[in-house]
Amino acid sequence: MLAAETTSFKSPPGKATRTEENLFRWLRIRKQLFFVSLVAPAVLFVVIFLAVPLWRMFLLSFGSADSIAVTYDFETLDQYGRALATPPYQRVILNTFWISILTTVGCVLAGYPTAYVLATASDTVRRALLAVLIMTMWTSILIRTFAWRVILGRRGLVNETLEWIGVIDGPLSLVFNTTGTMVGMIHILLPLLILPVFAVMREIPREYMLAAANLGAGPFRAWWRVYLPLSLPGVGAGALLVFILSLGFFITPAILGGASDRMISNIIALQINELNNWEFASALAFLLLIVTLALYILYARFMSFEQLYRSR
Amino acid sequence: MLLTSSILRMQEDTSAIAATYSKLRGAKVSLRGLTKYYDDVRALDNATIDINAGEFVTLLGPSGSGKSTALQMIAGFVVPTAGDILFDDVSVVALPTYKRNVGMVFQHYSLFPHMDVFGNVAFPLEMRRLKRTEIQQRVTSALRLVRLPGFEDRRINQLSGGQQQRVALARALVYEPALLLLDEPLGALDLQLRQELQIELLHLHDRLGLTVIFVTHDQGEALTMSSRIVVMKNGAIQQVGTPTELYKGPENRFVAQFVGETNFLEGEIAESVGGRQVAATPDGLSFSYISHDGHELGQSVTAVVRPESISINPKPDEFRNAFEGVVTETIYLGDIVKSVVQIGQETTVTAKTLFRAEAVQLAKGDRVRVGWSAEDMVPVDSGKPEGSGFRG
Ligand SMILES: Nc1ncnc2c1ncn2[C@@H]1O[C@H](COP(=O)(O)OP(=O)(O)OP(=O)(O)O)[C@@H](O)[C@H]1O
Ligand SMILES: [Mg+2]
Repeated sequence: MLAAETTSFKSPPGKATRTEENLFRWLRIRKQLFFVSLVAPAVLFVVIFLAVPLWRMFLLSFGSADSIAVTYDFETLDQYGRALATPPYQRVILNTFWISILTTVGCVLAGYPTAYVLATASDTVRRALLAVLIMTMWTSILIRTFAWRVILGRRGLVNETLEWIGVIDGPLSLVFNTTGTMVGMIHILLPLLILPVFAVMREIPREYMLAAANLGAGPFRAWWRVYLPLSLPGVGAGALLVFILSLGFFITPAILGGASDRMISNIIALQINELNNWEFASALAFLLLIVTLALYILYARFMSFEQLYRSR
Repeated sequence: MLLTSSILRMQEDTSAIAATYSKLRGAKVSLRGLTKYYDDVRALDNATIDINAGEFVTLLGPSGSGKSTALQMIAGFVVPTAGDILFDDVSVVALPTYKRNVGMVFQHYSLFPHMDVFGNVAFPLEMRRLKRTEIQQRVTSALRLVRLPGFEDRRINQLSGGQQQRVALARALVYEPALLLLDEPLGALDLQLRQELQIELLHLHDRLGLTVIFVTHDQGEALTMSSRIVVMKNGAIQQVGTPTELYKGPENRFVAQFVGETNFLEGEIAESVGGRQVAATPDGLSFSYISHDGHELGQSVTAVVRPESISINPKPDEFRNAFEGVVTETIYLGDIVKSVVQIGQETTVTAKTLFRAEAVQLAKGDRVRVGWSAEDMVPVDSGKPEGSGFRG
């Protein structure tokens, strides 16, 4: 230390001497080591329990199912071909996308106004609403999903109420079909749409809407021309998040859906649990992963759009 | 130098352009007992003013005095608790913001960040469903008016703060409102840009003839820009007057303190002859001032005299108010010298004199005579002064 100081005193200003360079290099490395040690446990965990199994699964998806000793053959795309070319599986894949789209649309329609209320309400109201929103996420998905069975069942709360009011004569079938799946999925995923939309809306200064009104825009046009475009990055981010998570949904369609509402994850479970066809299950899982990754990249783009708006 | 050159530049530029711009007739704006309470907070209390068509009126007051609240009620953002707002003698309180046809520039976040300059300036015209060709034409001329021709395609985040406020001004003027509201539009800019834009604003006002209500907490800005100033404090109007009226005849202590620099002298009234009164300070000085209200003998009074009304070493018997004292401080402000002189045990006055020989030679500890005429001294309300007797 002392040596470094005395030498630096003699050397021309702005130029580090050799001793100093070494010292600074060591200080930098020490700092980096510190940060590495902070992330190391998480990285190790992910590598051991995610990356390694994923790699095995990837190999497996190229294996052939009928040999006893599994052989990996990268020339073969049999499993993928089967998934994409067999009509029943095609239907499941399309159905997965269709349900995910419906869920996303449902979440946007129900979540956008809620997020708006959250973003513009007084602090007390906001805090109360946020608490409710977050508390729903504390309850297990399984319990909430089963609860819907009770609520939507033939003698459930909804049907009983509607009959009592006299809107319907016989019970509606609200569960064990697409309706049940949709209700359950929207219910579970709604907070994940509301929160990012709310986060973006909160950042929109009140002045913009005041300015729009001042410039002659009525409430609807002010929303359409100013608020909506400014809140869209949040909607994009939230919608993609919901869509990605919908694609992998398993419990809800299994509990609330009918036979035709099975999604990719349900088929994967079926292949593994009952048919013991790990190769095909791996291929299906990998298809899902690829789509999800592609969408995630989109999601990341949307988040950077949001940054763009911030720089005013 | 810079200031004058920019004035000249301005005159060349805008006169030609503004000629093509139609001369507006400003709206007459009247506030009648306008009041706003936020729960228990009195934001604006019983404000009554008449603003003439084409006037440039400044609302001046410290933070929290209710300036923005007044403006927001005029624009229609905030619903009054009581009172009325009239444009050309027609009440507008029930009219929603988007139907009031008022121009406004905010201090921050004036422009829509997701539109370019053209989109922003065209926005109010699109809301009024004008034809595309006319929109194009009007945007072009509005941008020329604020000296930003050719900026149509710029993104908002590619503009400097001053340019942004100019675009905001263009957007507020492009639909030719009869009233323009400006809520500290220059607050976020540095001094030089501020002065430049102050002059531009004045010129635009002159050329376009619209009514302007300008909000600031900067008294210098208020004095340079306004035809009349409304001084506000804690939601209450303190005084309304031209800059000269406020400067020469502040009606109360707050106005005297807030507008310009002032010396306060306190005493008991000892003599009252005609319009002139003499009061004695606790440390034994007598000062005379002109008073038109009947202050009674023995009553305590505070009178103010502006630093530039005080002469240093005047001719003997030139002034009724003449004192001897010791210089405690001299401050050189370029062309002006500020001298603090102690004239009594507890009384000091500050004099501002032009940078001239006799003032320059003053040094701390010198004995001097100071004097001012009774006509330059006015009484303000009685009671304790706020803060120190002198405010810079
Ligand atoms: N939305 C609001 N809710 C509650 N109180 C408010 C609200 N807006 C203003 N006030 C209060 O009303 C008073 C006047 O505020 P206003 O914004 O009009 O002051 P101002 O003169 O514009 O001050 P500044 O120079 O800081 O902008 C303040 O005491 C403020 O706290
Ligand atoms: Mg304000």
